[in-house]
Amino acid sequence: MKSPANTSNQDLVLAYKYPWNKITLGIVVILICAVSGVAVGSVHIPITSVFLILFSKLDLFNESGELTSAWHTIIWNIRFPRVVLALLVGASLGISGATYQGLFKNPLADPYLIGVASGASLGATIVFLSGIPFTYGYFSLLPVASFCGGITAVFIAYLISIKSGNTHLSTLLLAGLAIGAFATAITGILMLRSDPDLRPLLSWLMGGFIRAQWSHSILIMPYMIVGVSFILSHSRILNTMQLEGYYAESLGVNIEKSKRILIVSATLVTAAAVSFSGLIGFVGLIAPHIIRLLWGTDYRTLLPLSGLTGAAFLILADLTARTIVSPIELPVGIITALVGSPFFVYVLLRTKGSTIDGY
Amino acid sequence: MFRRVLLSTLIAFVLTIGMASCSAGGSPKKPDPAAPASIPVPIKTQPKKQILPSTPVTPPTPLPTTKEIKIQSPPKGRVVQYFPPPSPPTDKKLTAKFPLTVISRDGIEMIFNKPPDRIIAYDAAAVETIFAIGQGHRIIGTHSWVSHPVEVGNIEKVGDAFNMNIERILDLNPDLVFLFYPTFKEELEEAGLKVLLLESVDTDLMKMADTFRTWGQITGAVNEAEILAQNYESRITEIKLVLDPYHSGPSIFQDVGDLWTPGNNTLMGSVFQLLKLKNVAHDVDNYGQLSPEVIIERNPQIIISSTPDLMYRNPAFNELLPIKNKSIFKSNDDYLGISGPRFILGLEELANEFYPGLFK
Repeated sequence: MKSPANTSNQDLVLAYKYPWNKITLGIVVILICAVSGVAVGSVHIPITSVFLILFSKLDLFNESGELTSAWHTIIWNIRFPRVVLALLVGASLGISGATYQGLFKNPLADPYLIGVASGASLGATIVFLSGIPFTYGYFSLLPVASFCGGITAVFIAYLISIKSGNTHLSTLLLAGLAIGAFATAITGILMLRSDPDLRPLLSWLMGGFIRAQWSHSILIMPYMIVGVSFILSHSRILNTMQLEGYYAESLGVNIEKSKRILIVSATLVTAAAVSFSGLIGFVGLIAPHIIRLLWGTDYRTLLPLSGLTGAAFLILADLTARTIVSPIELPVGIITALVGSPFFVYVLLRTKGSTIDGY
Repeated sequence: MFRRVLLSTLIAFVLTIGMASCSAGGSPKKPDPAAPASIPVPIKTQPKKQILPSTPVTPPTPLPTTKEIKIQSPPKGRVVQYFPPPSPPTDKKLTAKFPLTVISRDGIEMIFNKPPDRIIAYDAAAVETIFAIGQGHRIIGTHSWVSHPVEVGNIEKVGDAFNMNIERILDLNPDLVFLFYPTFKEELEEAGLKVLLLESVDTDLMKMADTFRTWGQITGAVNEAEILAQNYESRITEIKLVLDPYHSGPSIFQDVGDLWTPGNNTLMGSVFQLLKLKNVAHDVDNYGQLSPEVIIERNPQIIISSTPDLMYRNPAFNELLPIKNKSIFKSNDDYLGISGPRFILGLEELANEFYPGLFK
């Protein structure tokens, strides 16, 4: 077996075959996950009825009389939008996690690293506690606020690192940590100094898909498409960034500009994901590492496959979260950590021949 | 390599599905202990759709009374009296006895030689109770979320529900600190203060009257407390009597935020039981976040929520009757959220709301 980490750096720029077979496998796995996510839930609905309901939506059949409208609602307005949102959020977190890890050449980097999460929490908390009526019809201010908060935190961190001379990534990292800690402190003060009923806010901060609606997926889709396509188009540059600085420059890559594009895109994708699902840990950290351990560190493979892994993982985690103690739901973050860490350790042990040095 | 990955992914996948379907498969078949198959209180609603074709639905039986109970049209402008005329005065006057022994929550006996004059009451229900029996002057401190009655405005706030300014408390030199939760108990006791926690009123609504009486004994206002307690008990008993001929009322879902809902062993669960409302979260212990699909399947006829907008906005709930009719009942958390003298007002409000015309 040829271990991927033994691939020498020069190989990266040589002929490269796009990993269509792996991506196809990933898509098949996601489809299986998605179908089971729609078919299984705390209310038992026969699988044939599930398919009848789905097909009736596609106008392939006239709706059969024996399907109750409650089942229809459960499949079409609860489970399906939820699976789709989990898919989008999981993919976002996986891809942005891989991007941050490559960008910072740091195996511990995750999508919430440079203050996105803390900023988003602060934004949501301010709107929530300010007493502004944050819902207008079907439109909610909460995700918008968390999105703005996340972006603002990263932007401030970025300004600080520019002020300090260059966009050296460790400066950005430290500035992001400082901004994040500051935002967390403000969030804490606001929560302690306010109205007692914090349950909806706490439940948002914990993360989850219990509120998932079709409109959420539609709203985060544009950000995702823009951000992800920018990231994917820079996957070759992420490869060269793993080389020493002068190597990359000698290849004619404008590293500074690419860094900026990648930071903005990854933050955009993360903030969009966070805005409706809250803070779900672990996915963005382990999805890229699993792929890296299994299939190597070429970002052209790593980025799309991390997205697919993150999506499949989060769909299954959400499925478990909503069924394991039915009729009660658990926060999905508990499941991602509970199922994710042993699986990650297993992968780590199985591939002990290789290392995760390939940054 | 490729095969191994495929294999491990499949194993993880199969395990998850296995777990999920095991737990999911069992639940819908569980018998419903809270809802005995019996005469339902008739409710004027649209013909109920049969949701689970496999479960037989008991056909509605004729009304036990001529009164028809509606839930769509609550009477407007209902007057709820705050303190009702005292119930038939007790003939024998009670006298306060000191030294008094009070059993605290953890079973320890506490001895009072005289009524405490400088009480720090760190609990909204206790503050309201002490004021209701006319002993509010004894309270010298509370926390910043207590806002009733208005006199509380003049009482010093020594912290909020999460934090406590222990230095300030020591400075105030209280002769009793009453706590609702034991977080700061040890610190305060180590500082030499007398700290009391009473058994919380979780599942037995009648226990609330005993709490009123205990406060009467502690502050010496035994007669006032007895009136308050008897008034409470008689009002609960009246609700019980009025609802006695009925076996079960409409089904209810309470949303306390993001589909968190009270189940068994909660104060609200007991309220629903008293009002013969069938809680759709009957198989939930304490509080839990109920799965939205379960809510839709169990099709509550009544929804109460302090934030109705969140449910109105979710298109998944559009088919539920209270959403269709825009009739989510906005509950008054000031009443039912505090197990003090105003609790009964919230209870009667619910009773009047869901059984209009039944209570005089």
